Amino acid sequence: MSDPLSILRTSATGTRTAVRSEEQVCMLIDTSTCIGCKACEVACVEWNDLHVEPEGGQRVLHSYQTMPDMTPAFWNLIRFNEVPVDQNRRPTTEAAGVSLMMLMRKDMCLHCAEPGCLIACPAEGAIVQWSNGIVDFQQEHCIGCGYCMTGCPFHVPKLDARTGRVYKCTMCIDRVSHGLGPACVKACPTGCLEFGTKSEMLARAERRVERLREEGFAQAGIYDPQGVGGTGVIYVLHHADQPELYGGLPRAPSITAAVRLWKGPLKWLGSGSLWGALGVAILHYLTVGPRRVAGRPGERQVLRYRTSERLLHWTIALSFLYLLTTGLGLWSPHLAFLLRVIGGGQVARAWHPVIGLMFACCVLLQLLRWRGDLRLSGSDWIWLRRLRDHVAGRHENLPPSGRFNAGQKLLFLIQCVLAAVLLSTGVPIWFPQAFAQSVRQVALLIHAAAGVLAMLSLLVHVYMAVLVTRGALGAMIEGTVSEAWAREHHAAWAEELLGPPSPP
Amino acid sequence: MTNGWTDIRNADVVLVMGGNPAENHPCGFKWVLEAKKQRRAKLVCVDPRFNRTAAVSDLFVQIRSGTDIAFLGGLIRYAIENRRYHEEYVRLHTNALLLLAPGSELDANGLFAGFDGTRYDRSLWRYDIEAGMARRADSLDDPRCVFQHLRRHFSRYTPQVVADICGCSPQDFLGAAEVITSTGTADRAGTILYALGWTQHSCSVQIIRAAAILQLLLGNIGRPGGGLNALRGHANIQGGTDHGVAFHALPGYLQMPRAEDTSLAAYLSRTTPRALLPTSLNTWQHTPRFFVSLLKAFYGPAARPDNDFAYDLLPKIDGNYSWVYLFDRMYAGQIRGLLAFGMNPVAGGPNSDKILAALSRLDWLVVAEAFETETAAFWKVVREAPATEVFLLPAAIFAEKDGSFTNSARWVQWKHRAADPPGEARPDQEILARIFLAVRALYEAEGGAFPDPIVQLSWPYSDPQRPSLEEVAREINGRDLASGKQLSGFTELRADGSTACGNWIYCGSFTEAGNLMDRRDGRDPSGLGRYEGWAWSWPMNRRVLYNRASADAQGRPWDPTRPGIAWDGARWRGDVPDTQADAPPDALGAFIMLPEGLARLWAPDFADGPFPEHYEAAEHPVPNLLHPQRSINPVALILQSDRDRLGTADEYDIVATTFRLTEHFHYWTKHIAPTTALQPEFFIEVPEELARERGIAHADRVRVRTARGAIQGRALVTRRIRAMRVGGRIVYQIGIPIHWGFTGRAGASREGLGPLANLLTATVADPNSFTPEYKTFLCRLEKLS
Repeated sequence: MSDPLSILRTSATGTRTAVRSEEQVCMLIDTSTCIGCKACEVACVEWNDLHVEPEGGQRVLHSYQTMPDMTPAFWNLIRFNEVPVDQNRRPTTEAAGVSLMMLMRKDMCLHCAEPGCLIACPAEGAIVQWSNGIVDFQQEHCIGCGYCMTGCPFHVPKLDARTGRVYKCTMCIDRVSHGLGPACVKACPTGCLEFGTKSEMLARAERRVERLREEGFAQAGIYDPQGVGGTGVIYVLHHADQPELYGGLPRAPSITAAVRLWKGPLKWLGSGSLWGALGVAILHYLTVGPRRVAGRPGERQVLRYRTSERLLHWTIALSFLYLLTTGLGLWSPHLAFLLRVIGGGQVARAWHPVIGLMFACCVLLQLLRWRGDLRLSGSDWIWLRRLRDHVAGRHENLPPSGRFNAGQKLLFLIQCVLAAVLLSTGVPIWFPQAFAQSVRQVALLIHAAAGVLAMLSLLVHVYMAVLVTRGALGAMIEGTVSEAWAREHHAAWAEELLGPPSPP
Repeated sequence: MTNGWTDIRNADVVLVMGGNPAENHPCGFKWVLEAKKQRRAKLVCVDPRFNRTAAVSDLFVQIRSGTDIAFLGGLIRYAIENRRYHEEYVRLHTNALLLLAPGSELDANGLFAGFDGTRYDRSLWRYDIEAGMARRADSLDDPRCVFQHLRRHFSRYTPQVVADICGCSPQDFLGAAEVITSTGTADRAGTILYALGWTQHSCSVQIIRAAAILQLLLGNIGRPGGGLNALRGHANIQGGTDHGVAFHALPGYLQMPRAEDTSLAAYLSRTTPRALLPTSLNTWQHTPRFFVSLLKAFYGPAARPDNDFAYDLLPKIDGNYSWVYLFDRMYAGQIRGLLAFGMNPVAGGPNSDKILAALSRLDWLVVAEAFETETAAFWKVVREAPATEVFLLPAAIFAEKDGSFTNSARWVQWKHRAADPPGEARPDQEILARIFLAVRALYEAEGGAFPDPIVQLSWPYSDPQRPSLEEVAREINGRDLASGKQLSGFTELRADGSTACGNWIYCGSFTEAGNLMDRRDGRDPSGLGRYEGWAWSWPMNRRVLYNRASADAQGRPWDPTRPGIAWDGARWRGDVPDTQADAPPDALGAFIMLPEGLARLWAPDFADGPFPEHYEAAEHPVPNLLHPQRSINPVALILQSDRDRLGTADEYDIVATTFRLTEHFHYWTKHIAPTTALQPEFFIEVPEELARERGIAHADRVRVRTARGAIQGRALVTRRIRAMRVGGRIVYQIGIPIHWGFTGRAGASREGLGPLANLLTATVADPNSFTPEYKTFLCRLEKLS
């Protein structure tokens, strides 16, 4: 191997950084000759200097399996699967079984050619795929978001709550890059583990499969799932037609549609709509322009927003700004610089959910506070039907508005709904270990989509409140507006508050 | 092992029974998988539990614990009745044709001739002797010959009887028999691997005898890919056995003098056998050479021809000092002190409760260990604080000292220290040397009743406080006293006191050419896994014992593709021949250690009969189907103290067996974090059917109780042990791993004495090897609320 430490691709960079030129390394696991001695487990712990503490109680399993699943400090787990079989050693039901087979599978990172973890990872450089195919986590860049756990079809990466980093098998990259095999292979006493190039391992696996078929295992085969582009760890299985018997090995693993949509089309759609919206805003500004209300000296000032309302608004605004910045930074590699500006990915990972929770609470409070003013009345529906007049600046055609016009009401209600969606989808992302992977995958997709919509709604709001409706920003800062402003924008509200307009 | 680990790869059939090499010998087990992969060998596993060996076997038969002789007896009968035996081999290399005097038949009561109520008079079991030589039949059909005795003896072991006793189905048995006996031809070879699942019964030696008979019938002894292979339970237990760690043997399996051997001549005349056939090389005829050389090694210049080579200084045994009797005496208050080196009797002995009581009656106890073992900590857990003064001496572990390991394959492999012992820890030899020198100084200063055995003991090491193990190894190999040169083989030993040798079977391991145990030549010119340049194998670097039997009457290998040795017209070629290297094929019998020069299908050497017979364990769930009035081995050793209680099937309805796990090494690795993490908590394997019947859910806490004691733990409900139908009723077996106790890191189970498996086991032992019956006993199982 000439230079195994050149990088093939890196997480969150969007581009491939090298062209694959070297032969992929590969570990062959012949499950038919594994005796479950766990030498590989110990070798892994020893070589990688992992610290496992014996725990009683939790692990009296139905078998001799060390623990239910891999952990951040246990990257190599032999799964013991006891399967009832019939006379011909075909897996069968409990009732029909005349004997047992103990299907032992070494669970570990499979080092996919198309790694779901890497594709999902938002932290630049946290996951790299070396040119020899090894997929390697770089914990110093890891932000602990757990997206890799959501992206991996094999449930391999494990988040360490203590360090806030994710860990998994490195295929002993430190050994491999010096021409040695992984520690587990070195320790395996039966030779059921072998290490070499992918083509070589496939050839050996073929020979074993042939032998197993001769021995009567007609369904023997190689597990090298193409859904992830093939793997750097391949299995010889007695029952390749039923890989799920081997401790839940997925039959046809792939990067799921949710992850693909989230990492592909949604990004294009999101940035497209963002730029589109900006363009529309500029066009609108140039053609329609701002809406000014000429003030008169000595005019009465009307209280439009109480201090508490303004405080809530600005809390929401600032927190949303933070959420948007961090969210964008986590979402797109091109915007990853935003994370650096505000303290780095790990800080963003830690604070985004907390701020998000605060944001959602504030939105809820504001909703409660404004609930009376947000009710859509009959005239609102007329207003909405004449939205085009509003956009075009023909305000005279619109019915008088209350404290908020129908557009404002609708926009805020939409934002409330989005906040609710963002919160509910944010929780599974916040606590990845507490939710099923499929839930997390959908949550991530919806969260990102909702984020895009929230960003668009913000754009409309800011444009309208700052550039178009002159005086609105001042109102949210100082709390008051002029009588004229009030009567121009919210005639019904002004009349209710101030009485009919005095004749000029 | 008659063969060796690396030889297993030459087998066509591997029978694993009474052992679980995938779990307990995973490194050696690679050769089984190698045979499967390269030779398409079939692996047959017969065990009470579906274990990790069974998991990779081609055929698994579950049998009831303690019924191995029934199963093997069935195989012997199957081989004979279906003419699956290797007839030419049997005629040539076994005693099948020798004629027997009457007395070797089993009567209807399950007894051989000569039983006096406690033991057999073995002199009744004998060949038909004429002029000092055994008479030979012309044909295997002669009803008086060994072969016909064998056939008649095992004719009762029909497939149905086997199935009824063992709890398997006749079909299961026949399926296994078909595969196992397929090696009874010249072109096929099969091996048997066994371990403590055979040796820890009250008829354990006869189980191994039965296996030897089967292998001899199939022509598998002495051949590459064959053999009867004991898988030892420690890295160096073979070395311990070779060097006379048992009370009744001196180094090199020389017999221990008894009280009645009042002179050297008397001892030698009792222990030196006379040939029974003219073709017998009878290696033990040289006992005087081996023994006198050993005395010279022990006593140096003090061993002179005029004083019987200091024979009088050697202790003479006047009784049984094996483990169970030792602790029985201790329990009776007859022993005042104990040095425990690399031994943890509280955890390792049977009936731990009795052992704790026995230790409490000592004046002093010295434990040399790397960890605080149950034995070192026993005084913390016994109910009444004992008066015993306990010393725990920190000892180096194996990696902190050099020396040799003798593996199961008899390979003596030199090892080099990897690290220095920490703190005040010292290697065992230094601890022993310093104790010895202090005792010797006391004897020299104060005299005493009999100082000579201590004062005159040879202690020729350059640093007496710290004997170098290389010096000890040289001493074991032996030297010519006149020239001072290291000997190159035991044929150079002399009975006149001109040679000294610490262990005749190790003679040749450290010659003038250097330390042959330290050789690391990984080449395998034969392609048969002999690796003759790797370390050194006793005896004489021979890799396969009895390899003369790998060739036919003309000296041609039975299977030319797997030659052990072959006669080239002038010499034997191949492995180091287990015969005289230049003796023509027809000159000598193949089994040179036996006075008849032939392997023994019939053997009068054992306390419990000339042929193996199925007897139930001391605690058994059903009477012996073959002779219900004589269920257990009539000469089994059953101790009788007030703590030695046996239970009956009425009170204790479940069969229990103990076992080891691959994750742990005895009671040691529970002190180490990574291995403890692999198996942190004690558990009890309970068959699903039994759990359902008793309302036990997985991981429920249960208590196992025997007539001796009780332990608690979580139930591991499993399909790997199934209910069996035996003697018309359902019999359940449970499995109890042995590795836990009350010390170590496995925290969850530390109340009281912890789950010490041996609190349950009985002080019952085999009458030949004196090994306790750990593997089969009766218990009750209760769910704890």
